[in-house]
Amino acid sequence: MKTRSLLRATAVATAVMLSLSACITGSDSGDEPETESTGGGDASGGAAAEITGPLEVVSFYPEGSPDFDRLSGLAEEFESRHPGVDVTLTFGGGQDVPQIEARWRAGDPPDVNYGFLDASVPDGGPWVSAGQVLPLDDPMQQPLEGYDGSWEDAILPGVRPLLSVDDTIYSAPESVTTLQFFYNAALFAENGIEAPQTFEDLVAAADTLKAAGVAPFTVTGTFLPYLQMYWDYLALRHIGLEGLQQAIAGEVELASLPGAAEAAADLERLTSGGYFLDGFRGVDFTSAQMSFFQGDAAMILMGSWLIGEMSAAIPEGFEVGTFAFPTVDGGSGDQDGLFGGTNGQIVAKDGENPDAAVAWLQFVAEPENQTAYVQNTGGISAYTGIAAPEGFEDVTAMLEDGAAFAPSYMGILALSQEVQNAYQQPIAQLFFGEIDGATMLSQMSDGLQSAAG
Amino acid sequence: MPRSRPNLLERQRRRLVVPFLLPALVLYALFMLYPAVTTFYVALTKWDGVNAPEWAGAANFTRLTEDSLFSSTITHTIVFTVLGALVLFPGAMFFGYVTQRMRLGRVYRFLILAPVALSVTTAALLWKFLVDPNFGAVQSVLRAIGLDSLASVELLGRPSTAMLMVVLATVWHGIGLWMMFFAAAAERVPAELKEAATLDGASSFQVFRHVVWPLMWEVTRTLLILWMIQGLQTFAFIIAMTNGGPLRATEVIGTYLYKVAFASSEFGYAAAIAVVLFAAILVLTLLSQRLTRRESEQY
Repeated sequence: MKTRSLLRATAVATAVMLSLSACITGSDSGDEPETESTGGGDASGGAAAEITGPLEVVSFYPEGSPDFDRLSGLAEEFESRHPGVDVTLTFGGGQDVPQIEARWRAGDPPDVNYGFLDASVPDGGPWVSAGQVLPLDDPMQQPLEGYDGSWEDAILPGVRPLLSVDDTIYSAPESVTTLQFFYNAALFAENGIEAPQTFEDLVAAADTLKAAGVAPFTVTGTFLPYLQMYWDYLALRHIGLEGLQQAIAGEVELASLPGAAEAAADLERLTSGGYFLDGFRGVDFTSAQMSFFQGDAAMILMGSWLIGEMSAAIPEGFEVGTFAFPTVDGGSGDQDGLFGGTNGQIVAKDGENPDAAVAWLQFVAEPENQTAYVQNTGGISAYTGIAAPEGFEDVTAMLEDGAAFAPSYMGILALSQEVQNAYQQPIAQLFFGEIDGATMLSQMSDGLQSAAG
Repeated sequence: MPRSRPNLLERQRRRLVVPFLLPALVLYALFMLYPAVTTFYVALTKWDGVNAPEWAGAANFTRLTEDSLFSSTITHTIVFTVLGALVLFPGAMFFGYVTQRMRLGRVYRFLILAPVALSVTTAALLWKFLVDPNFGAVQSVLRAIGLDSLASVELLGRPSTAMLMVVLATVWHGIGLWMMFFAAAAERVPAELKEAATLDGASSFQVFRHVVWPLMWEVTRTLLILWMIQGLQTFAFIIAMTNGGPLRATEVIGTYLYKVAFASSEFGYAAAIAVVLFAAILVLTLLSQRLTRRESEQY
């Protein structure tokens, strides 16, 4: 009797352990996705086929937001074009990203996913390496409705490098975000200031504004990536993208790179000059953006989403101007490089309907939908021939010309906490007046080396 | 002495219990034991959350001993827990005892309890905007009464004040519940004991200090342990109000664990942190149970 009980207990324990292992390693099982295409595998880039079935698309913005409404309109039009398709929009932005990732881990990914699964980072992130993201090479070579060439040719040249991992295209852009200065045109005009072209112009403009009793810049001290943008741009201009990427990877010592000391010195000039709005250390980004639109500060370094995001809070008649981060004299880096992102959308290989997902991405890319996107949101299209929104003509032209397009925040938000800490904390300490520029550089340099082991 | 064998009826009764317990046991195993066992397993692997985990042995735990970021989060977590206890317990006891004796006590209790109905995120954002240096009500009031120098202090932007603000927000949100526990405990104290002390000339404070509180000790002790567990696990208010800043001054174990797992995709390492946190809570709970044990007062 005792032996039987023991055997029974052992069997139960073994079953539990086996099911545990199966669950933990289940993501590696490589099951073939089920598709509901009735006309063959169009996701591979074959001839257009009738598509049916449910399609789940992730929206960065929640239900009730203008962008969700825009996507709802697109979904209705897509359904009318493909009567057998039923589109569901799922909120998956901000703090909800882990929920979407949990669904990927559980083998139940939405079909079309917003660009937060690291598919556009240099190594493609774990999802690409695990083979869970559908390659888009074949459909990208097909003609795209409304454009002269292929889908890939229709994408802005500056954006294309961010869509591939090891020469395979994994994501399709809907739009582009760029990081640049926004300025209060009325305050600039009142004080006789032109949009700065060089860093010296920027400091001179800041001095003029400060003397007039206006805070030159507003920034949030509670969200480090936004503080980091100032250093990123100065490092891009003085050092260059390649050197900075190598330093973050721990391959070279940051402090020894040509231009690093100059970039740190320039950042110290900004942070020690009293140019930032009082209280910036304790405000969050919404408050910082509000203070810009309330006229409390004349400039804000921010993403191109600023206008769309704050549209409800912008006072009537408020005139916004934009300019790219200024160049630096004698800098050995990229003087016309830009930071930004692509909002790359990826298709889940294990999704329910990859064919419909690819068709959706092509539909979103069509010229009339891209034009509507620009007009409704003030965002920048990722496609050629689409008119840029007002104020973003220059940056769009730079992307048309294939300027260096660096990932926002140097892509460090997906790296280890040690790297993030080594990179961001010295910048915050400099902004908070706790260290000087040289100390910031040496701390960052040592920290990155240490984090790389 | 050999234990006597249960009779047939008793054995049948015990067997009868099993089917009734089974659904609860299955649910417990599925939602409690399984994740816990999995966490222990994952802590021994290197896992990015997507690809198959690689066996890493004790590497994650070794790394923890060398991780200066982790060690600083331990300090911050302890500061949060101690500071929170210092604010919460006197406050909850005070409100619990005083509102019991006031004419409109129930109304005040309702008002103090009301914030519990708010979600943590809402409460955190409310506090964040209250103390915003540009648009916050606190700063506006300070300026209005001429305290400009105080108004210019960025309460969430300075390492010296940010933790205090997070503690205050957490306590404000939850103090109503703790007050109710203390009020219920105070109500159980026989009125004749308090009357006797009053007749002997004890002040209200002395009645509380020497009569009521000793009789509430068991409740206080349990609540202390509960707070300790809550404090060590603190996460939501900090992630919403400061995200661990400024300069990592409010980075606690919970927020660090979250970032390691969901921002850096190091699930094995995050699981190791969770295991250490679990062990710390277990040890501290047992320790505090032992240290705070007193002979209970009978009444």
